[in-house]
Amino acid sequence: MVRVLIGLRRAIARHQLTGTSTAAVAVTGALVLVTAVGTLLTGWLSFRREAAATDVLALVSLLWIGGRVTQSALAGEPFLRPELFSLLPLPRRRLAWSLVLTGLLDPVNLLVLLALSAVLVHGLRVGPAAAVTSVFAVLLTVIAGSVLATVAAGVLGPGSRRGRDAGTVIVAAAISLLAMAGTMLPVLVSALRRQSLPGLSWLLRLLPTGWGPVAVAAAAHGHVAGALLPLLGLVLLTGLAGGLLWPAVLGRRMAGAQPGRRGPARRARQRAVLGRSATGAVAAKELRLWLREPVRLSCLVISVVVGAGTGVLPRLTAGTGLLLPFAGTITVVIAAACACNLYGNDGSSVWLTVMSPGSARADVRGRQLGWLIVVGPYAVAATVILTAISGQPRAWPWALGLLTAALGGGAGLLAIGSLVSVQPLDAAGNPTPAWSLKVHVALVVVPLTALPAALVLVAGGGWLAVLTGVLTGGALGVWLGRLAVTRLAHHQVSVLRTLTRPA
Amino acid sequence: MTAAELVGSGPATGTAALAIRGLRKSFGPNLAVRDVDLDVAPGTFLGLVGPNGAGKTTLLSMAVGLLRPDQGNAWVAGNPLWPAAWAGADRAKQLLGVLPDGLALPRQLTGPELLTYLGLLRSLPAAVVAARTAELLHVLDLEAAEATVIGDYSTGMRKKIGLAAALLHGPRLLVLDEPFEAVDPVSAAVVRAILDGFTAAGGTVLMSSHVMALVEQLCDHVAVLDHGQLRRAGTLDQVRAGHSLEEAFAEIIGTRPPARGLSWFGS
Repeated sequence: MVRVLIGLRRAIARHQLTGTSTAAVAVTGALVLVTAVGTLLTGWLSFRREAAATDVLALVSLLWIGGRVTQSALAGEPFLRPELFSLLPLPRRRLAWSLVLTGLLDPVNLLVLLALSAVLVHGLRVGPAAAVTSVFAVLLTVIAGSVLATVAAGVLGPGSRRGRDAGTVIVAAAISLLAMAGTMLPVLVSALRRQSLPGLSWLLRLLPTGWGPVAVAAAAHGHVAGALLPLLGLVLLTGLAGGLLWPAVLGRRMAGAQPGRRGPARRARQRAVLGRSATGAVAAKELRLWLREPVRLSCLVISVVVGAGTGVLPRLTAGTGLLLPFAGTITVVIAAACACNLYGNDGSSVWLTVMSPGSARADVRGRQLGWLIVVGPYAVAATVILTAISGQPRAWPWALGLLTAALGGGAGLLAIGSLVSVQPLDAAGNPTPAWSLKVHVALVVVPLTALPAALVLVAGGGWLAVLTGVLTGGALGVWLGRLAVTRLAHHQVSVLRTLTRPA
Repeated sequence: MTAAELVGSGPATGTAALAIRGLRKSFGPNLAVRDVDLDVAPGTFLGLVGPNGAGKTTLLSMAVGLLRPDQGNAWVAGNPLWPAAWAGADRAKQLLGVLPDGLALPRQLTGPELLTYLGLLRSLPAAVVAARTAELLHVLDLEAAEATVIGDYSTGMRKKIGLAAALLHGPRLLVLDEPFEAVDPVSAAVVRAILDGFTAAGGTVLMSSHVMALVEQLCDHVAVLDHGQLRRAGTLDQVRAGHSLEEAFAEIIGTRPPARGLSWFGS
């Protein structure tokens, strides 16, 4: 059965990835490979104390396995969805183990294996007993990670759409928090090498991802039981996850849980503040989608977490509040970049605009207004509060000048950007590599809209930069929006064609 | 009757509720629709039938302005759908209500939110939108699902909210692609009553369907499409020519069901 499943997975993957930019997939793969090789090199690090090596390797293991599991939870199983097998008379336990084995043959595990071989390198350097133990430690950790990833991918199954979406957003928030914690990695590694954070050391060794390095350390000291127990723990964890938890999750998915009914019925209320105009209707729709649609909401959460984190973390780790005034602007830049593919995110529902005569202007302006309402008040409040906290009076023109320029420029760019190189989501409603590439390009382009204000600031223009930001922001928002209206009016049928999935 | 002859009265595009002239579309090497001509007179209820892959959805998509044809054009009450950016297309779309097959609705909106959004997008007065939304939800039995997002709707519920969206702005021509697919019998009766009332009030309906009995029951005109070509078109009686529509359809497209099932039955 495993061979059949591998063939099926390969065939589905080949069809689903049709049209996806091969370059984008290659770039992503190359980046992960480079990171894995970089992680492998930590195995050659020299430590004054053996305990420090264990802690650092446990941290590395946590980041890789944690990342692998959360990525699976976020993306779900894109190819072999359990619902595919619900009508087949297959013994559930056999199917469960077959899917686990198929998951083990996922190429991603090779990259994880390469990265975690840092433990093996360290074991080889310490001694023969540690070397032998490290082989088992690495293999068992990778297997446990793969099984947990399979279970995690199955957890977000078909329940209510809102429940599933909430799960996706929570995972996105966790990932962005993890990414921000990643910026503290050098600080953490150096603290672990100094053994100055005993609480963190204890936690890293307690988690299953730390059991492998703990076993290697015990083997190096000749403690047979200390080496065997963590490895047995990994075997037990894998058995429990694959033998008990996974069949239960699979059963729930194959039973096809029905979407739950919503709470008490209530009349939809048009947001009165937006008026009764066509533009107001689009803005109200956009507000709802920003707060309900998982890809959009995840983007907002990530932009807030990364924006706030970039401003606040240097204050916590290095004691400098230099970036505090720019937390709001960074959020605006990320949120605008994420919004540069709105039509692609909405899929073929753009047909409603195509069939509503003369609605192109309302559609574009409403999308701009909706984004400004979602992002603007937070960004302004974050900028004002954090600039005040930073205690840098000279930072005010910088903070406000760049913020106003980025807000207007972002509102303009998201309008026209959403109509250029429109990228549909994949069949499961998740971003594709090409989508990510577009967002990354937008991350570079959006800050350029604040260039005039930045030049005024560098030239010592002070508060004149705020006026520049307001003027360029306003002009770009209006002008790029106007370009987008024209483009939508003339190309809406082509956009719809791009977003229509062949039956 | 051949494809060259037209349904309803008169070939002039100005008098037809919908006039299709020489529509053609290919996808790569596959010619999906081949030079189709068709007129639908005001007040007509036309059923478009054809086997899977006949090109029905492609033809309807071009005829309403959702898919650019390689050749040909379509007119709604004399207003051309193509080029899409011209004022004629806007006038045509004001008269059109469309229920497409295979195109998405915003899955994170509830039914009432979708209808309110669409009504205001079409510049209807807010009070009119609210009144029509309430009536449509009530008649189509979607009130109980008022707080459910469309992504959690069943296929039948999606068809019904799609029909509500098509009717909301008071069109004069309805183009419906498989409107009864997965709709429960009670709701189907409601939809039939709505469509009957629509044509009785002078509206025109063009509907695609696989269900011959339904087409026979509802439609006064029928068009048969096969391999992208219009094979037969006319009044229901002209097309079925003394047989049932199912028999006439099988004869037109030249297929017969296997007489004795499959070879391994009974083995």
